[in-house]
Amino acid sequence: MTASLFADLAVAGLITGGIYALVAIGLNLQYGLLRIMNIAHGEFLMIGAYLTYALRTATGWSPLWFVPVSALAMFALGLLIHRLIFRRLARLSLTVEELEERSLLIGFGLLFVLQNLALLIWGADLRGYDYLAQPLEYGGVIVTANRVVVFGVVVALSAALVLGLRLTMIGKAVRAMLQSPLGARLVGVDTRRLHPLCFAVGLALAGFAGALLSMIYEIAPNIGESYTVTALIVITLGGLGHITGSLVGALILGLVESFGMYLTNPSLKTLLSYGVFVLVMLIRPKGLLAR
Amino acid sequence: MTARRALAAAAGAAVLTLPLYASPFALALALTCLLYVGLAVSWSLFSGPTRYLSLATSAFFGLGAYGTAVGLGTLPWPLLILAGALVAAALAWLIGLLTLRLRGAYFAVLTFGLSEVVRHAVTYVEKSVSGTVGRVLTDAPEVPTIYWTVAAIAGAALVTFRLVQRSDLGVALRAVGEDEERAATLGVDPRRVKTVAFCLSAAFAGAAGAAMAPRSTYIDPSSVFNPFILFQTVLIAMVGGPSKLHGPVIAALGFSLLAEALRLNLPYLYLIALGLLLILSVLFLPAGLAGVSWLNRWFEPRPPRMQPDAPRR
Amino acid sequence: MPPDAEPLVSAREVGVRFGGLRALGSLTFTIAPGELLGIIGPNGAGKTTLFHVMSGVVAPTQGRLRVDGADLTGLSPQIFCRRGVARTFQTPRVFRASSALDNVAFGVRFARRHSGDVTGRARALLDRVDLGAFGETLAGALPPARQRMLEIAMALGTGPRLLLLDEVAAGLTDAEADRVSALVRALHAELGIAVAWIEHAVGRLMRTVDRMLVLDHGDLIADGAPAAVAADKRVIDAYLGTDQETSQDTSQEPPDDD
Repeated sequence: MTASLFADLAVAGLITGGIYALVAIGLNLQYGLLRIMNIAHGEFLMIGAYLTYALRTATGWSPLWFVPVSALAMFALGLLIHRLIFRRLARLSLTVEELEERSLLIGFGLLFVLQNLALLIWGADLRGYDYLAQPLEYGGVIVTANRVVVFGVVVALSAALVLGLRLTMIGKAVRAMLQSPLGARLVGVDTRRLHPLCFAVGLALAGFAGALLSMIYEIAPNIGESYTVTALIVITLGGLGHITGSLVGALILGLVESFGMYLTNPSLKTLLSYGVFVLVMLIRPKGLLAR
Repeated sequence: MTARRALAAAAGAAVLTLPLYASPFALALALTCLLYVGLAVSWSLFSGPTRYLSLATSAFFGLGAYGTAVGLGTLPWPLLILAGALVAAALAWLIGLLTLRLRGAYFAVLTFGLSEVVRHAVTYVEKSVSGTVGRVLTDAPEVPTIYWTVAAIAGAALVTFRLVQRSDLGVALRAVGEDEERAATLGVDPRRVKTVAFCLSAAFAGAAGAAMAPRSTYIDPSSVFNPFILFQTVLIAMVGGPSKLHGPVIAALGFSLLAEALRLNLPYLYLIALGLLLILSVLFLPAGLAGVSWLNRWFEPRPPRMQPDAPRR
Repeated sequence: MPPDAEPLVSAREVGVRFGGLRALGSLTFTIAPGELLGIIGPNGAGKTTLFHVMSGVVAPTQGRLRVDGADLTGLSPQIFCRRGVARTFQTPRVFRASSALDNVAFGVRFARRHSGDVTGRARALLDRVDLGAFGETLAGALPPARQRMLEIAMALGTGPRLLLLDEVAAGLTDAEADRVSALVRALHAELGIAVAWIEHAVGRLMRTVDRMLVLDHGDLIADGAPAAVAADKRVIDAYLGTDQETSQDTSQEPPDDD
């Protein structure tokens, strides 16, 4: 393997990993914190991607403008869904186990609703648009400009997230809840306000990732599922409720996929990632990086 | 009691004689009904009492269907159905070996993950060994044969459900669902009863897949391992209430009719409606139709021993 | 016990750690067939953990545990049940949605040590613990004190050789607790089974049992006749070191590790 090929694969892996990180952190906020096993998480990414695509093709403006739009839209949708569904579900469920299982079923319902909604509106064909598709070269490594932009945005957002969790009051409250939901309530964390917020932020991250994704890949209504699985793998790797773990796990997975696909057969990709998932679940259901 | 018996007998006779006089459309509709009765009832056999949410139905169904696709023309029809059941049960044993020690969402997600692994593995093997992804089915049996086979599978699932419910196995399964560790301290081997029920439940799904495969002349992994089969099965069982028999039956009838009415003309709307229904049923009908008291009084005048759907801990 | 008799339970250096937390140190003791044994100790001493280990609910992280001549270390609860160990739980764990009778029949049916009429046997056991009138009542609807009695009947249904009782007299009035003591002694005498009884009411336990084990911070600090144990300096220190409850018959502790 030449140095430039190595760099190519590494850059590709880091970009994919960065997107995985956003999706996984979003799911981790929902599952690690609220015990909502949102199997439809990837569908919100897909909706975010279509939203950006639709706005971009309608206006012709730079899709970067629509990244925050898409994130905000998913944030609002998250608040709504939490209000209508998960608040009631949390009240109904007597045990954590029950909440997890029922939220999984709800997630299945949401998955079907969102996927078919997208099919209804945009059809089953692949959709895409050109944005900054010209290649950039630096030291023998060739990357399209849009990937550089996406990578930059992902890194900035991830850093902001990790720092925000460490430094802000809300971040501290979230981390307190991740460690001990009861303890957090005892020291005055208002879980009733924080729960919808976390759920919505989770979806906003998915919407954000979807918007970025639409700049570099073609999209279809069924792209969500694989991201949900990836996110599950990542939070299992990184540990439930472990935000930095998710970030690291996502980057590792992105690199493994990038190099793995080159070294083995690309048609094995899905099989590989499901295989990794099943293995991790079997060996360390509480997470490889978990304390 | 006698009125219910007579009604059941009449319904049974009507179901069995249908191919003799029904139009092809009506027969196809009835076939779908029976298929989902069989799938939902056999799913409930395991997941109802234990509350282990199995999401591997598509894998069992798909494997059964692939068995038929491979063996059609060489093996006699009844043997194909039996093979589908056995292969699915074997897969369930394997999946159970890996997953039955996990609980809650982990079990559910892992069964789903494993069934996706099976689908992708079949795709991969077909691509690299057979050189093609799909298979054309020739020498397929007539529709009435398929119909009677599926009817027999659904009937067997109903009978098995009842037998298990009233047996020691059923008591043990419900105890596992309520407090697994406690059941073990009283002598139940949770692992064994879960595995037995999981395999039994899978066998019906595998047999159903084997029987349904010749309905299409061409099958490929994405059509027979379709998550939609799982989704509809779970939906029917949940809406019906997985702990009783009549709930899933009523729900299967309702959904099959709805499916036929909407699916061809408005496929996406139909699936959106199904998704919404699932959400609503989880939120507002946690015990399903089986939790609706007047239905229960009609179908089950005596409370069964160890009611599985009474208030939870 | 006679020196040549095979012990029913023999624990050698049995210990349990949960992560970094040491719940049980390194316990070595035996229980002879037909013995009536009391287990005491301050809160968090590891009494319930010891029962978890002796019934297969928690696997010990060190040591070996033999029951009825077989090494059961790390095996599942149903194996312990088959070998004749039955128990109650500090917080009763009955099948709430089933009748009291079905709860008792459960153990009779699945422990498979009773051949013959399961329901009749269950009914007799319910009568024995004075719950005969509640056979058709849903177990979850019984008050906690009755659920504890129900758990005794459920345990007896498995036909045990060793019965582990975890605070079955907690929260009772003196008169009620006296009746429970009398019941335990009577069951012990009638069935000839070994009984190990955890109770916080040290005085009552001393009057009932023949031998006491005292746990403190996961260690076995005394093992012997009640009178000898009561005079043991380490036992006195352990109790005075914590506080109160030396012989208050109705004292209760919050669930420690159940």
